[in-house]
Amino acid sequence: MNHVASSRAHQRARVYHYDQLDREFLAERVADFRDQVARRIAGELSEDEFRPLRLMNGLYLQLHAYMLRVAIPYGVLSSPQLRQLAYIARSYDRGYGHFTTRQNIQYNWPKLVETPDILQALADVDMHAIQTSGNCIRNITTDEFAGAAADELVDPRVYAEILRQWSTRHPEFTYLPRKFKIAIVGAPLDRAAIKFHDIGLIAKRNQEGEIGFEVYAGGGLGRTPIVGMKLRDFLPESEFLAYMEAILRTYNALGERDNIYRARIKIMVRELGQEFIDLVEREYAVLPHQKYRIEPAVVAWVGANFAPPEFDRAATPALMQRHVAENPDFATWVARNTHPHREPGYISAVISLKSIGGVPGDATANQMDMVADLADVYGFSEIRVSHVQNLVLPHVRRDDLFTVWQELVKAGLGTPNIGLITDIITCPGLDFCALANARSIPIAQRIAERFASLERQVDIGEVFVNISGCINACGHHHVGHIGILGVDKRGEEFYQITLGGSATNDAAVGEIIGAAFSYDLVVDAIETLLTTYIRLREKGERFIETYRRLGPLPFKEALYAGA
Amino acid sequence: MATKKGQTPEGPVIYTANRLDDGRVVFLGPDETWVDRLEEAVIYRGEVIEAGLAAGQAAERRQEVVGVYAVDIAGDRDEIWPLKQRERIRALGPSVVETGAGQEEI
Repeated sequence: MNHVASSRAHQRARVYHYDQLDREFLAERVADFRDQVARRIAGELSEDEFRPLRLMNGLYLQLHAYMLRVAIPYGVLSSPQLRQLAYIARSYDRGYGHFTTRQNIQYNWPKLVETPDILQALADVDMHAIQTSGNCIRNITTDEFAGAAADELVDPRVYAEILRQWSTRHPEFTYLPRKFKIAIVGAPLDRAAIKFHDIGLIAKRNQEGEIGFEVYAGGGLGRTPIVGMKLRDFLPESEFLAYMEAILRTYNALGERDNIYRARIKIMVRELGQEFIDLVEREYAVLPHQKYRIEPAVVAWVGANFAPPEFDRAATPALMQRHVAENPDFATWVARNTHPHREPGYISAVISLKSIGGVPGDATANQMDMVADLADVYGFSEIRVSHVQNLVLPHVRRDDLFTVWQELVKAGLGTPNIGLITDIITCPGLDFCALANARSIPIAQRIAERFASLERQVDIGEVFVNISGCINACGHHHVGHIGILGVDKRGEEFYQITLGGSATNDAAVGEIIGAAFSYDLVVDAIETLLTTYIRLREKGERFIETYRRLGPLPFKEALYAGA
Repeated sequence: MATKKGQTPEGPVIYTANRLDDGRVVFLGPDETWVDRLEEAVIYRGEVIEAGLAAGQAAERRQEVVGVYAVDIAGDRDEIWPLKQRERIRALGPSVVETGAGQEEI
């Protein structure tokens, strides 16, 4: 039974609302997978035959157990959907879920035999795990403040949803040379790392107020980190899908399928340069444009799902300002964990999933329920997942913020550390991942514990520390101001440090600073880097700015003095 | 000495896999049964190493387990210690306290 079709909270949330066709499709997929699992258990399918089928439904076999990756389309959830994720965690897993850098959620311990029931539970709330694995177009990601941010020019959710519908089960792009990731933003500040995606899009307006897209392609992390190349400065809205089709067709036809290390589009773009753009434009020129044209009616139809909620225009910041003045803890949290809203009486609240000593990106089932409850009472039943592994209540009345904060603190979700050294992006690493070479989570925990003092964190200021347990870079280490990469040296864990990366407008790949550090010494190395920064910084200078001004030498000298 | 990929192990080794229906890590134990606990794994040395692999692969064909492979270990019947960190974590579970474990939730 579909739990959300008639749910008032789900109807109220600004998420894409499934129709009967969507629901029938999901029901068929669940039935198919139930049959496939039964055949696998009965021995009618070998593992080789079954593996691609389970991966198409987001089911991996990891280090300790199966792992199910569930798509959260562009990181947007309604409260009933978040409650259902909590229900799944509680009923089929170990009572928690892990939010990922691709705005998805992963369950670490599902049983194969129960997976069809989990997929049914997801379908009950218009969710699934399709295209969270395999060489296809993955979950489209975007800015966690979409539709709320004060600086937003165009709501990227509308185009993310159009891309989602276009890319889901796209018959031509189901078996690409490698996986394909698209990110889109609609504000001048890139909050979705778009230049490190296979395609990155910036939605914007021209002088006439028309919507168009700055298009990048060939960005990526992993073994070969590359900043994406600009293909178009202003692709008109109506031509948006045709151009995506042209990029994907060019890649699908010419991408290297026989070498996994050269199969991503970034390798092609890097090697061909302008020739890649020419190939795309040639493909684009011969496409039947009318077929792919995005009509204003389509944009309006999709956009209706994301229409602004009924904001209380009388809302004022008066009460919040009084509480800020009276309560230093609240004031600190407001300073770190909120983001300016387009409506003067509202604010976006960031819920840190980076408590000191906790597992970054994890939330218990009870915490998920509690956030869903807060969203219902104070946030139009809507929740976002950020690519830096935190949650967001996008639309909170400023006058309600103090109450929201008090509830978060009670639930262990009031850590005031967004953008500080303890707000660390971390992949599951060797504690859970079959591909990892080294652990990530305990390194993040030890750094957080070392810098637990909020006063010290604030003194250090904004610094992004990203940790990956292997070169696949799920923890985005290349684009951390400080990046940490776990490597295997003769069966033991070591950690390579990179400095100077950035995932935003000033996109940059960090530089390796020197020899790797052991598990025991890497946290000391991070502390050395930060004390060096504090010693050398100029007034108001962030870590990344000091690094860019001085270069790696003083940091290198501090790290390896006496070595 | 650690076994290199594609090389026949010299031993001592144990055999491990994931159980098909729930994916949990298991080890080849006495009487070619699959056991959950590392310390119950049978240690294979010398000429019986290949027999252990054959037993594991037969279980794979019976759809009991997935992905059988040998793990180089140190130790003896009293204490088995996988040589590689990856295998130690795989055998013993995550090295971190899992979220919410042992806590009274809100």
